Amino acid sequence: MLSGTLARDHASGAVHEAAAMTLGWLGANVGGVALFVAPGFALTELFAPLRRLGWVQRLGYAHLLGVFAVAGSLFAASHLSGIPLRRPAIAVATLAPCALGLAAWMVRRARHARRSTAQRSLPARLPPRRIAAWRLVWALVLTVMALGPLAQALSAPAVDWDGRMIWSAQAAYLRDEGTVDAAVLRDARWFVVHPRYPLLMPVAQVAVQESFGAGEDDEFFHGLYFGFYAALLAVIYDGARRAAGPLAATLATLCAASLTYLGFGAGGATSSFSDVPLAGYFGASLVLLLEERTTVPGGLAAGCLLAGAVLTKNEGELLAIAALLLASWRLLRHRRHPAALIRLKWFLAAGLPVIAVALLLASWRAGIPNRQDEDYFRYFSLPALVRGAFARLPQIASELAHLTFLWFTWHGFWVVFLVVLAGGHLALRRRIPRLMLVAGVVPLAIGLAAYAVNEHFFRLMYETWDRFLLQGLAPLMILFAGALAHSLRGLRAPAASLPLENDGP
Amino acid sequence: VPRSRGMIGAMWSRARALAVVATVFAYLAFMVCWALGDTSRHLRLAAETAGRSPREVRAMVFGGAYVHAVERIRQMIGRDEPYLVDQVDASNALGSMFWVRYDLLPRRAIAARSRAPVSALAGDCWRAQVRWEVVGLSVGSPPLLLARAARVPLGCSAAPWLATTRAAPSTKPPP
Repeated sequence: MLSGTLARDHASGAVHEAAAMTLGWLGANVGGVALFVAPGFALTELFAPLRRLGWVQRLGYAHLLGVFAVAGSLFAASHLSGIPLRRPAIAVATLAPCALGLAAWMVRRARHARRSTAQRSLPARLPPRRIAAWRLVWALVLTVMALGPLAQALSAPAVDWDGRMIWSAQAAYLRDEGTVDAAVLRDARWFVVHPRYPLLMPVAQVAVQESFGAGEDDEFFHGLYFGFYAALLAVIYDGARRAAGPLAATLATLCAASLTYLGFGAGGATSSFSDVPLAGYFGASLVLLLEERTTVPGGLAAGCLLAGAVLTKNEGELLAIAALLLASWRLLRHRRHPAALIRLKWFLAAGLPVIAVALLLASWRAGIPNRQDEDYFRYFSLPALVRGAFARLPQIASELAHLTFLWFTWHGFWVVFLVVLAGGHLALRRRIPRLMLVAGVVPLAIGLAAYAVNEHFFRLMYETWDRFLLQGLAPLMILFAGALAHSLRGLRAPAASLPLENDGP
Repeated sequence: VPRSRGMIGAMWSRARALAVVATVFAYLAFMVCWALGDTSRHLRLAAETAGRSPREVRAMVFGGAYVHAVERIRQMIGRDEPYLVDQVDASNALGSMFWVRYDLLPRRAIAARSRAPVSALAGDCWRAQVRWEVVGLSVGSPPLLLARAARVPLGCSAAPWLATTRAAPSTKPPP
């Protein structure tokens, strides 16, 4: 345990209050990130498309995969087998992927060594790549910019509404009872807000708090949420680099990192909302589904990330369906191609984890009476949607425009976004920017549908619209990079002579 | 004529690309400076919390009176004992019950004003047996703790928390 004074005195049940915002606190937060990044990094060893990535991008995917693997397996073990959410289970959930990844790495090394022995003519090691000075500068700027949210996350208690009201409250109940099927959720007499919300993030919080013996006022989970912010930026860079090259990707990532709302806003890196994690899972799976080659390991990695989205937030299920539909376009486009069977396997590998997790979630929800919840699906019907959309359209459109271009929240970013999109609209001739545009619009469409059917739509817009924009940030920033790359090329050559670049794998 | 039209088109394309790239760089120059300012401010704030206990930091953020009130409520309501939670009917009190509920976790709360129909509450054996009610006044204001006369309704068995306190009666004075 990193800070011994945080230990709960099990004999008396009292909680010591001598913990301080010192190295112990910092260590527990950093340890909370390592708890997921280490197994996640090991898991990336199993997936060739992730293994080939640079360190920074790989760490981003590792965080996402690690949280899904550890918290997801704890969720399943607790619900299906009644295994308590305590240190032994957390240790197994963390160490098993590490062992698996290590074994895969050793096998790969052994194969590589055999191959090297067989082909002695090949150079033993590639010459080190030179890193351009401008990349070092941007990495430094990005790091310094990220220090702000990091400092805030690690030094302040939770002050965000949904974190206190929903996610962290659920985590405290789960930790207290040691199960995801907590009586407080299953008995309608207890006052719990949104008791049926997916539990990936609360279980991840439990893993951190329990591993480091957090006391009553200790919040060691803020590092975990900051990790999602860093992971989202890494995913944006990776997706944008694949779609638009390194310079446009760098500029797009810098623009995303400079968003004050992403860093400090409600739902941002310093909060314990689930929107940044959802944005990370959705964005990462889109990059793998739309920009990576159609291999089974790539599909499985994307499927795990989509399953993470399903377990993170209610919208995750709809986003997962949308991502799979967009991916199926690749399947249908080459249905007569000789590699059609491989593509089918790729698609199944992506879809199966989503189906498994959706079933698990449905089984868990079945025992929980819903309460303190908007329950959109009860009111949702096509006539209600159409009626609401038409009747409220002027109000919704004007308020959403106001919220999107509100200086206080976004500092003019969406104006710049539209300028870049207008200037580089020819980039939309390419497949990936076009698909990313559709993917980026999906969270916004979910929001619009909710506003159309909910009678408290006005309040709801103010509370949720910015977060829907966050959820679609990764595909929108990849689109932004694509359009920006078009303008960057236009500085060098006339638009008419611009070749349409390779349309991705 | 076509050649000059082509040149004009090329110039227009370049001008448009230049405007887009200039917009992005201007935005980034402004926002990076803004973000660096944020970083320096938050690092300074973080430095102020260095070496302080979570209680002190919470007092810095939420105010000493609020933290003190929460501490007292935690002492009065055991970790295994539930409480009723409510907030006063004022616009600035909106959400204060959620705020204080978080600070009392993992103690379980029962909504003092239930949206459930009266017929459903009639069979509720727990509500009458709850000994404490916490009322949020506004976010950040010290919450009120009210002692309730707990009783076991007819036809109900004693709630687990009441049975425990009967076996070992509390010597704590009321707040």
